[in-house]
Amino acid sequence: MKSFTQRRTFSICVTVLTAIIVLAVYTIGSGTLRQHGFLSGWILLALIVFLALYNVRKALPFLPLGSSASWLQFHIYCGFLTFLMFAIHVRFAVPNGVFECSLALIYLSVFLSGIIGLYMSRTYPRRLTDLGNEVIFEHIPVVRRQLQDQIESLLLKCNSEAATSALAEFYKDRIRPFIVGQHDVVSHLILGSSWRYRSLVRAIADQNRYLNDDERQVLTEVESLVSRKHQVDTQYALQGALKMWLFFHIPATYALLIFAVFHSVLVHAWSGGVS
Amino acid sequence: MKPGNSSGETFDAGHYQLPQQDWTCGHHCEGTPCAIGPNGSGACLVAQICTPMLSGSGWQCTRPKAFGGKCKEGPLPDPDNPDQAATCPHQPVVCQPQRTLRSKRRLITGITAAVALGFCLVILGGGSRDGTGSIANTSPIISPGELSAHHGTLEQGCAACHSAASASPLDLMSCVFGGSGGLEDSRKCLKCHHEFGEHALHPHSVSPDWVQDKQDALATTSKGHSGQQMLARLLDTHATTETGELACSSCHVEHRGAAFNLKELTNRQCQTCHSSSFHSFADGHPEFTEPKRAFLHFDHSTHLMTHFNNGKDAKGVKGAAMSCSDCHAQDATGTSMVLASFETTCAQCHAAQITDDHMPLTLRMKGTEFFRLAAEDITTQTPFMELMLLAGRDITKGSQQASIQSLTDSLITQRETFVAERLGLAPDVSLDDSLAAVAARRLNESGFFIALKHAHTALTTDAAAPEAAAAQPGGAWSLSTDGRGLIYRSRGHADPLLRDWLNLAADGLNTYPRPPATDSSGAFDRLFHQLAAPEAAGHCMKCHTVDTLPDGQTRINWNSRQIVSAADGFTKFAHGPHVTLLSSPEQAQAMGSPDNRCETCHAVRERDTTLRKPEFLLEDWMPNPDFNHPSSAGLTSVTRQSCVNCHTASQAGDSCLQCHNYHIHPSQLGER
Repeated sequence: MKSFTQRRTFSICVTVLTAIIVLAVYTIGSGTLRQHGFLSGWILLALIVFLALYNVRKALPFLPLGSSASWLQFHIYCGFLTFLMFAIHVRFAVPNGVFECSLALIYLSVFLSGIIGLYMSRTYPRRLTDLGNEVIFEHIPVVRRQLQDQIESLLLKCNSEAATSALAEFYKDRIRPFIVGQHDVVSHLILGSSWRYRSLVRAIADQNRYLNDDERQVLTEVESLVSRKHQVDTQYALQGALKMWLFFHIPATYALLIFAVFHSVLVHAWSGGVS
Repeated sequence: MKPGNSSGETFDAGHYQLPQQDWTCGHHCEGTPCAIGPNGSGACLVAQICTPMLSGSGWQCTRPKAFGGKCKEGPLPDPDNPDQAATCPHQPVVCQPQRTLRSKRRLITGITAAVALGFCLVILGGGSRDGTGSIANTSPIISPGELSAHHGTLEQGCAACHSAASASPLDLMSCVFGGSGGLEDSRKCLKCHHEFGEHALHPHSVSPDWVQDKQDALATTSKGHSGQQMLARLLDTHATTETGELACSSCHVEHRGAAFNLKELTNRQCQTCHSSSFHSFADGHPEFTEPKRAFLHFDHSTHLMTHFNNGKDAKGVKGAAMSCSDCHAQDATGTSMVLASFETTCAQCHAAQITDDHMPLTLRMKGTEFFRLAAEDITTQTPFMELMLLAGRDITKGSQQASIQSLTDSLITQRETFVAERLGLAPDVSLDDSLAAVAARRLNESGFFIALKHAHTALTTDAAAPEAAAAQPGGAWSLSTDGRGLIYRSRGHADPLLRDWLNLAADGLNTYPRPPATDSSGAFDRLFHQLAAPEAAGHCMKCHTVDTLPDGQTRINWNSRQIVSAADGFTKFAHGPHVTLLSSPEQAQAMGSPDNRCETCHAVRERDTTLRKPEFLLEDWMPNPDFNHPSSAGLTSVTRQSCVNCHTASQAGDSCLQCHNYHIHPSQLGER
């Protein structure tokens, strides 16, 4: 069994070698009468179709089409090759025409979203593991509600025994807005934390001086649950990002396929007999 | 079992929301989803949780355990109809189910694809705003790039060059698969570029047979293909139709911007198609063939090495050295080295030879006898007389003398009108009327009719005035020694009568040479032989050559070869830059020929003392009509090596297109 590093090294070498061969063929082919735009275009379209089939493969897990992990590896490295083919196809220049520019922009957006997705899928799971206490994405609203219920039950219990309403008012003004809903997604993604959470932690520390011992004990437990809510928020942001980038990547891929097929029809019809 | 995580949050595994489900409970986002969830169509099911069931003991609650199990109160029977209907007292709040992420993604994907497809269909079938055609024809929505400057002025939109632009969306697919070889667009090119003739779309715009002949001729010189060439040929099928036609866009790639040179081709592109490939001009290019015979018969070696040898002229006078520039000079375009006029170059030595004035009177050539007075029979008639008589069908058995007498009278009285009429009546030969008229006029201008009248008068009256004719204006006519023949002697170079009667005779020949015959074509043939013979007046054919063209017509080359447009032929060469280069002594020294720079490429051959050069004269000393006969006119042929000295990839360039044109105009094929 090859190690992870060996597999990656092998894949990268194969990709680089393929790119060198493609460039060599392009260099030589550009000196012939064959207009390489048709060849590079068809190769590019075939690669894009192959990349799109990965989504189909995921939808058909029962078919013996190879492991999803293998498909993902091909998806990644072929994706990089498409960029080279795209650059060759557009002759390293900005295309003309609204349609051609749109097609190029769609390709580039799909490619870039793929790069971003690759980055996220390689880094966010590690961050999620580091966070610990992983929660399934779809279950996060339930967990969030459970945390809210736990905090409120603690406060209700404390409020019935305490002589002051300071803790209740603090919950209403500061804790509840944080507990309810999701905040600061971008901050969670980039920094792994939320400025609201940090502000709330400081406010909790400040609030302690106004509380009696029992209330302080309850607030300590609440602070622990708030910390847990913050963790869940981070998990929600990271897992959400891992799912949400596909909301762009996949629809744009289908638009790219449709545009590419239409582009093929147009260029062959307009080829003047050289296609 | 209550699955959960280490932090203590729990959830019922039976309530787990599967990612592939399309709908989720509307309360899910609040963290309180119901246990049953919506159905596959996105409808909330909580209203159907409890359906009271009538049993023997009355109405029974059927609420599932997930929703609290059977309630204590039980269903409430309908007061109006207690045995038929009952309602649950615990109606839960109905939610608005929400799409799951997967379902939302699928929906967005579908909408995006529909928008993209719609956009494409609008481009394909939509009309332009001004109603002049489809968007695809007039709009910049689809544009592969700017046109070249030459085509940038086309105003008819894409349809000017592309059949697909005016095709319906359904017909577009036939364009995709190239209905008739996909050459419709190329035929649109030919609406403007009609200079390439009927084989415009064949390789090199020439007949495939011509190309095949060339390929066969060059096949033996192939050196094989380099690795790059083999790969390039593998990549390129240079697809042609069944008829071997090639699309214009195979070589001329448009939409690369205004500054793009449509004619630009690489050597590898040229060699992609050629079955006989070579690596470069210096390595493997076929050697140059011997040039074809020149229009003028001129032997450089004899002139340079004998007549003008060692700085002496033909008479041995020093200081009259002959150089190339004495006779040749660049034309206005710098393409050709044109020959100076006869008066400038040849007249000093050869003018007297044309009129025989340099010879003693007794040794002069006898000239050309045009007319014989009182010819006894047909064998003593001249070709001129034969033509006149045949045209009028005047010859009948037993009346030859009368016919000749009648002819003589007609010539004297009706003069050029009679000649033109008779030439126009010549049977079996379609003469150029203007040539006939001119030829007849030349007779008059030369004083032929006056000379004939004088000679006839002298003969019939026995007057001793045989030289009277020569005293007439023009002075070129004289009587033969027997006093019966009317002889013409040239009045100098480019004698109008000889030139135009030779043209007339050549025009009367369908093919040349032709065996003598009794019909009128044979008469023209004999006339041509008489005028073109070495001893004929003017000795025209000593220098001027005669060609039989591919269409069988005979042409006399009265001028030196002038290359009208080098751009039309397969091979082009511009003397200008080379002459300029060689005019620098340093460059000439570097080229290895400082003294005579033209000889860098055109070295003089060893002197050839043969009088009859077969490329110019047949064994009977008549002109050789085969212009394909190679001849370098006393110079060595230009060799490829002399060009390779400079023309390499790093120096003066070795592109195929530097010397060759791809498109060969039809007029250049078979022509000289």
